Amino acid sequence: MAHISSIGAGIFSDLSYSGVGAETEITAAPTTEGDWKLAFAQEVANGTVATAGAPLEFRRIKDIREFPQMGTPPNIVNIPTYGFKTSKQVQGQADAPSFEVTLNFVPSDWVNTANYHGNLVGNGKLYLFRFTLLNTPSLGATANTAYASIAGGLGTVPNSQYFWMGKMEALQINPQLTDANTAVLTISIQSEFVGPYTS
Amino acid sequence: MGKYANLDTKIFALFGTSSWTAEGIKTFPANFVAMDAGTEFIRVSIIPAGPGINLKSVSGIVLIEIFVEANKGPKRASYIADKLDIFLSGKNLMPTTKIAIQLGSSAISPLGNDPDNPSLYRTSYTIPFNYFEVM
Repeated sequence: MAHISSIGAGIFSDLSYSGVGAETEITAAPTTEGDWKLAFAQEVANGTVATAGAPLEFRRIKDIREFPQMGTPPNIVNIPTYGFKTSKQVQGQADAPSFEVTLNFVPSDWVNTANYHGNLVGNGKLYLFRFTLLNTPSLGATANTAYASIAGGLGTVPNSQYFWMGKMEALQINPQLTDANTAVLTISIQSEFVGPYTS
Repeated sequence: MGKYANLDTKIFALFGTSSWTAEGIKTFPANFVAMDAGTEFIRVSIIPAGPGINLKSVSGIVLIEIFVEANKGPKRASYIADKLDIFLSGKNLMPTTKIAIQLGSSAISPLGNDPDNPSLYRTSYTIPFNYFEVM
């Protein structure tokens, strides 16, 4: 398909991570668009054993309530310049953004058991993450590739994908007395953001 | 076409699809006098009366009145509402690139017997929409 060409709400946007089936820990981010997408070519359900080795399999983090801003912050620095009414600006090296995702918390998805999301929180390992801006759900017909970065998956609808490498650092539960329970998942950023790409 | 005609065309077209007609629920647009409508049908009105994010955009609701046989309980109306959800809720209709109609989450409200025909029970099904068009 292509990037989204209309204005709209990204109510079907998706957050996934890959590397769950790798035999060895990921230590370096992919360098090409094709390699990033290859890491998201096959979905494995939460709680299901992933296949070791290539291709890397990915899991989707569902029930997301609120996404943070996506991308590299600008960190604009003002440079005073003699003789000008306004200073000049340059872009300095930015601090990595705080990437905190608010979830509608489903405890059974986050148990600290092998093959579940919860088992990855705080384990110190690197994973590849993908955020996909989606205004409409994927029309992919096959369950384990409907949200894959391939033509027959996300490519069935307009989509824009962003990738980075990071760790799942913490999960903080926020019990609610009159609303749905929520949780905040903190993901640390260990590489630059790349994208947007489309499938 | 303008935004109102686009809305009419795309939303009413949903009720002309073979998958909807296969449901066997008689469907009429607003301002259409149905002859012999029977004891079960729906009437669809599009109300683009809300604010838009730019001059070419608008928001509003799709109001669908569900008529079922009176004195039979609410179950049939709820069943039809669930069917409507399958066709409408969360859908993103794109008449062309640069234009999108996004439908949200629906709600129903029982309205009691139809004042024009007390043998029919009326339930309103409403679903909000946003019509977006790139300037």
